[in-house]
Amino acid sequence: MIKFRVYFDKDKETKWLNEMAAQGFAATGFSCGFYRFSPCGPQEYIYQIDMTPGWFRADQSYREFMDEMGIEIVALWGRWVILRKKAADGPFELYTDAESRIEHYRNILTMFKLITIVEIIGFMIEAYGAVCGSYVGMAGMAVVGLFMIVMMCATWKTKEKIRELSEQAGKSVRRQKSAANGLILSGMFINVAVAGLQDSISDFLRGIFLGLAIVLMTVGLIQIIRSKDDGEADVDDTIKK
Amino acid sequence: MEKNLPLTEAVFYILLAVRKPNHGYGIIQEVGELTGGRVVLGPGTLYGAIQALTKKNWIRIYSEDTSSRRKKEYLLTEEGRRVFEEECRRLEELLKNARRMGGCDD
Repeated sequence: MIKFRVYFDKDKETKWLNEMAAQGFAATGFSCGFYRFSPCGPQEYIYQIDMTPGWFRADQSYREFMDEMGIEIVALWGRWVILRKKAADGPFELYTDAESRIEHYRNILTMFKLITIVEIIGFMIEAYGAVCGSYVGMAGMAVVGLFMIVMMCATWKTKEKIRELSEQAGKSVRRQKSAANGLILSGMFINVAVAGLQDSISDFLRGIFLGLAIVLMTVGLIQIIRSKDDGEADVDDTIKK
Repeated sequence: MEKNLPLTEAVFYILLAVRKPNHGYGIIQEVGELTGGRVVLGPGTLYGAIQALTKKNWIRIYSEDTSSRRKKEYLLTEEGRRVFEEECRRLEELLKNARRMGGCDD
């Protein structure tokens, strides 16, 4: 059986995989949103999702380690890895203390931010094409723009998760003030508007708007890049005080 | 003062469990037994800690048995021993002070 799902939240994805396994469908493969399931005994496997240090691969030491723990690597995708363990071998939880859980979500956050940065650059290229009247550019802009918003949401949710975990661990974390999302969205909106208006505005106005959009998005981009290590600094600062 | 202190509970017990050569699964079991099942090391937590501790040179790979079952064993280094001892002194001070002030009597 094959099912198509798109998840940007690994906790929800893990829950779903375990629900499927409880119903007798064990995930045996994943690629590009398509999950392959094979029949299994009810409560036979427990699934977990981890991040590997490399893209689309797990290094030798990771493989050996998981193998020794009786954990099977089901699928590798991007930096995600789907793992499963026989439920009969006892409970299966990857991260069991606050420190490693926070570290895990920080790695996820770094990856989401990286993807967002690449997407913003892609969006600006597509937007240039769209404004020049290319329909391919317009379609590209829509797709990349949509994906960018999804990624920005995922980034925000991961940040919230880290904040929640840090607070649970008794570390007060100051809320990070960032205008990055607002700046990028405004830039996107202006780009879309200019591309939509096409010839109904003068070249001069179009130039001004485009310049403004580029400035807004670039400032947002720089903010994201600069905030890269803030998550860590935020928590550590409060511990040291 | 060692800037890596205090150690997390997981790191403290991992270092304790590799005073003699020990493999991943052995570490989990030993720590579980020592704490009566209170400190359970998840595979992700343990893997991350082993990577970090190896990088810091607090532990090292002791054996890579390539013959039958490949099981990596880890061993505490001199540097790791030093940090651990320093942490013990820190913890002793905490307890000593708490006892002196009567904070440990129930």
